[in-house]
Amino acid sequence: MKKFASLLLSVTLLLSIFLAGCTPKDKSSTGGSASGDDKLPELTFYMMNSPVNDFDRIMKKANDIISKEIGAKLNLIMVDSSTYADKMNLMINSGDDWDLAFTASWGGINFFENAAKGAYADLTDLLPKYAPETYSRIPEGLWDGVKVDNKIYAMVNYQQWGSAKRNGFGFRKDLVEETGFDWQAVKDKPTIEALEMIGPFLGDALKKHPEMIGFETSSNYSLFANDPLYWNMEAVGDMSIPGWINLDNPDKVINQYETEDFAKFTKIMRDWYNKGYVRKDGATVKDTSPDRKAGKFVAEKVYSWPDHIDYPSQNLAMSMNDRDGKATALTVSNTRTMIPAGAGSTAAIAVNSESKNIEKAVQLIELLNTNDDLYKLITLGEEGIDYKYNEDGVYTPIEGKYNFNFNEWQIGQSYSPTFNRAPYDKNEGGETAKETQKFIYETDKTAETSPVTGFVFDPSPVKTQVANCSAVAAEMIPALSAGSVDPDKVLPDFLKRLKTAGVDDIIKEKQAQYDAWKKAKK
Amino acid sequence: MKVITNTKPSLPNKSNRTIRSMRRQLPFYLMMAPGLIFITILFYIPMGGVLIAFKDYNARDGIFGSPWMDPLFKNFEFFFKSDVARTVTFNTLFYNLLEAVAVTICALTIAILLNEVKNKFLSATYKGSILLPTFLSWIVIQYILFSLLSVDRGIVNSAITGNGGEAINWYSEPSYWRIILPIAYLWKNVGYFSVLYVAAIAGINPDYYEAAELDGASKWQKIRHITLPLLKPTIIVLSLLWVGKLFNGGLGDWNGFYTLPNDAGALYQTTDVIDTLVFRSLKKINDYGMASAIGLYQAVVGLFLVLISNYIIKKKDPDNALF
Amino acid sequence: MILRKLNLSKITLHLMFITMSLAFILPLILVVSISFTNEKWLMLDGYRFWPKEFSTAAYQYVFSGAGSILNAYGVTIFVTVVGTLLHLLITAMLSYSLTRPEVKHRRALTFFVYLPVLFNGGLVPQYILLTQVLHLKDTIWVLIIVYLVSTVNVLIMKNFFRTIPDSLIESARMDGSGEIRTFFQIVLPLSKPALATIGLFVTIAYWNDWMTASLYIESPNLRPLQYLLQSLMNNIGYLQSNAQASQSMEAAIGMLPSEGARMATCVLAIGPIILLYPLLQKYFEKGLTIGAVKE
Repeated sequence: MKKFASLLLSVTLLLSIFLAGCTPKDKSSTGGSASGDDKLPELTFYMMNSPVNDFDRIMKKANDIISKEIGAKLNLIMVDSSTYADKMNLMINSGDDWDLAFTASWGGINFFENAAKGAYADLTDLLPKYAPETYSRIPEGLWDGVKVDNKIYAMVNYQQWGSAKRNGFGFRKDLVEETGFDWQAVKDKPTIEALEMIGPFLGDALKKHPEMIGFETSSNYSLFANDPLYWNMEAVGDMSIPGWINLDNPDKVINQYETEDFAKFTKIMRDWYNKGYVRKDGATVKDTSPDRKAGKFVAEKVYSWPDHIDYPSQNLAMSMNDRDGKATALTVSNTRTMIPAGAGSTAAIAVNSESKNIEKAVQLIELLNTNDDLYKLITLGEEGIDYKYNEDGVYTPIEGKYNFNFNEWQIGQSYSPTFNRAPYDKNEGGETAKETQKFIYETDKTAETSPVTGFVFDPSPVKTQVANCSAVAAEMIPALSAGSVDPDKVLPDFLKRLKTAGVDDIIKEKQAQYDAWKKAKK
Repeated sequence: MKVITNTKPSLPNKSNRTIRSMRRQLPFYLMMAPGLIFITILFYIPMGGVLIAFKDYNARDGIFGSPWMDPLFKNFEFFFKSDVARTVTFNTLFYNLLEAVAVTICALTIAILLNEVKNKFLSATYKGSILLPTFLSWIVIQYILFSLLSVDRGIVNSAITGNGGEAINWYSEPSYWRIILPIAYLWKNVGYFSVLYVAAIAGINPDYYEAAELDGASKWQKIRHITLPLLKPTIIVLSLLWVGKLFNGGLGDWNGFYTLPNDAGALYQTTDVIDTLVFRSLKKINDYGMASAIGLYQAVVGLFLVLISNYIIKKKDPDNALF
Repeated sequence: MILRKLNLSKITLHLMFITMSLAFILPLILVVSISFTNEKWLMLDGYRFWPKEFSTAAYQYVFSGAGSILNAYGVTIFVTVVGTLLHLLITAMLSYSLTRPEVKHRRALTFFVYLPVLFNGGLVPQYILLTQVLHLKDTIWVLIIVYLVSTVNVLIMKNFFRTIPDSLIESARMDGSGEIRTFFQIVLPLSKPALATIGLFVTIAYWNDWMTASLYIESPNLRPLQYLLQSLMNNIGYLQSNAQASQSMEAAIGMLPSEGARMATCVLAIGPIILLYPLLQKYFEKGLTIGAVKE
């Protein structure tokens, strides 16, 4: 057995030597410590991203700029997107070191809970001082969206597609023409009415193209439960927990599943299911991208606006389809235009309250937001090496080179008044994109903000009820929203189970906290 | 027919002084040291975390400094108040018992039959292929299952429709999953246990078989009177490990229950086990206290079951008791 | 008559195993086939055991997007080899000692080993331990230490050691061999089947582990293969399901070969480790106690 022992030893030794090259001798090696002073403070910035090619080359260049401008170095740490929330919550809950991190109110990243716990630094006074440009460029309503107790806890990543939301529907252009559907009539109709108009169109289209699917249903998205704006409602606190308000009566917290709209919606979906307009397995299918890619849907929900009535010249495609392909789309919006309460916390950057370099961290964000070259370097790479504009002026990443996997929205504002921060195609399409974005930006300034913006629901007094209600909802919502169960039988049962799980306690608690918050605001 | 020559504790000589016994034990303790140290560091130190089950945990105060829950068992409340607690408890026990029995029987059968395959190449090929799924993660198995059972693109349905049948909506009907899930677990795990049993059979001294052959024993007799009794310790150890995890999804590996049915609400009735319910309920509020409360509850029930089974085994067959 | 009967049972036996092997192999062939199928056909035609239109696009995508795959293979191989060898050594020493009657408190110690099967403190204490007490965050050792000892394996291996005849150890003792030498020179060589069995499963655990890396590894050059592949897929899936967060790129994402790439990552990840089995195969054939007993 000596042989075994010596084999073990020699293999271990050999591999240790081999790997000594890979083991980081000091942490800064990833950030590229080549330029200048090694004593510069290093800011760690956590975000979600998959591995990136040629990362060191870009980070070295980026750090040349950053160290010159603010006297600090950036160590961008990319965490797998499916574990990001777990990892950040672990780091926060174990008191680990970090300086900056992408944060949001979705996907379990828990912006509000962490802010309330004191994990994030209070930036209210630091922003105007160290990040004046970032601060002034973003509409006031968005800053309200990242406040807890009237203090700002994150820097909003203001995106090129704006913050105000207006939802609508998109239809296959060729089928609209084939069936003569009056799509423009859907404009501004309440969603129930809109769906009632869309139904016959789906029937006509599917009669001619039976291989297609009328409307998308899936287990992880419900047109009702995941999209309050369609129903002229807004979630009070976390969307998945019962307790919304109607925007026309914004003082009263209601159980959204007890509304007439939900009952009507489930009836329509049941009807569509019976008529074969939606997938038979819509309640259980998770990944619908194959259907989208195959251009199978006749109609779909659409978030992007302005629609084709505002800007008829737009060239849009159905989701996940090529704009030059056969599945071009006509879109029409039907809801009000509003900056939802969650808009600010859709994408933001927080600073660790325990960080030794809070000011520098804020300065870094300001630099990322104002130095377009730096932002483009990190999010796109170097022109000519990592990407190019082809002969038609279309932005084309070069295969196998540095690319940021479309995650630019996590590390700063992609919006820019001069349109110098995103890869717009250098052709007519690119110009239209800029036009529509200008329109969006102007609307953002004037759009109404949600009445619940800035309110944070603390679920801890009703934790048990929340846990049980979310379990019930997760079980029942997909089937009701996909039409695979008969709402006449299942809906009453669902409401009864919510009651047993304590939904009324949650509504009461939400109402109490909401009232107290409104009172304090006045 | 008793053939087990087990390590009978050699009774300590009365003249043995404590020191001498300690000197005899010393080399063993030296050999155990790394293992025991790592077990202490990796498993026992973090075990302080079970306290979180009774705490209103926050990072600032840490595990020990965080305030106690008031009432103390508040973190446990949500599970017992849940209206599906009974369903998931039933599912957990149902699948685990089924799985434990099915895997053990299948793996034993396969291992014994493999022993009959004398051609080395064929035996290696069979073993290798049975073992293949062990290499796969549940996510991969989910992809495979979906490509088999997808309503419109799956292999099974295209075979059915190809023969003029009607496509079956596998992912929408809960009752199918009572069969699909155990088969999937069996498919993934049976190779692992077969190989364990094969290794155990390989360890049986061939003299026993030769002696039995001389006595004119049939194949079946040899299996019954030599192989099975000699495999008993292995079967007992594996069963005890299983019993301890009875309250977690299959051997504590509940990921399959979450992954395979696509976490589909319509299927929960037959696919939800305690761990998936807890995982789903707490995903939204990310509460470490409630999560560890359920973990603790499962562990305590598991411990209870293990101690009982071990006690029974000890009574009947002291050599094979785990501790 | 007897010959014919034997043949019949033999044929049944082999037929049974062949069917069974097919049930285990075919689904994997399906994975390979999908990974080489043109994405368009997957959407329109569904899954097939043989690609309708052959395409390597999925592999090209994985190789061009996953950064330095070679480095990742290096990390994975190092972790797997070192981790498995250390694991086997530690487990063998511990479980062998637990079977020795000389060790007085072996039942209590076995219970000590068993208890963590049931109780675990959860992620938070583990994270604090590994990062703040042991300071292993972002080092290659964190990938090794998490699987260094498995109480389940200790108990299984303990069971193998029980079949080693006492007489063997006794006679070694007579010859003046110390306990530790006896273990390394006599017991371990006899336990090759047990070591190979456990070793195989430990290898799989190390090889397939990506969770540890995603929680504890931050430097790109320390990332193991599985992490790289998993993360690549997660990013696509994640962007697809959060269309709002990355609206402008939706069409571009739609062009990525996601289903084929998913299967390609599986093939790339499992491929090398499957080859390990034939290498270990010969150890499974040998009995635990043959030979040595007779001498």
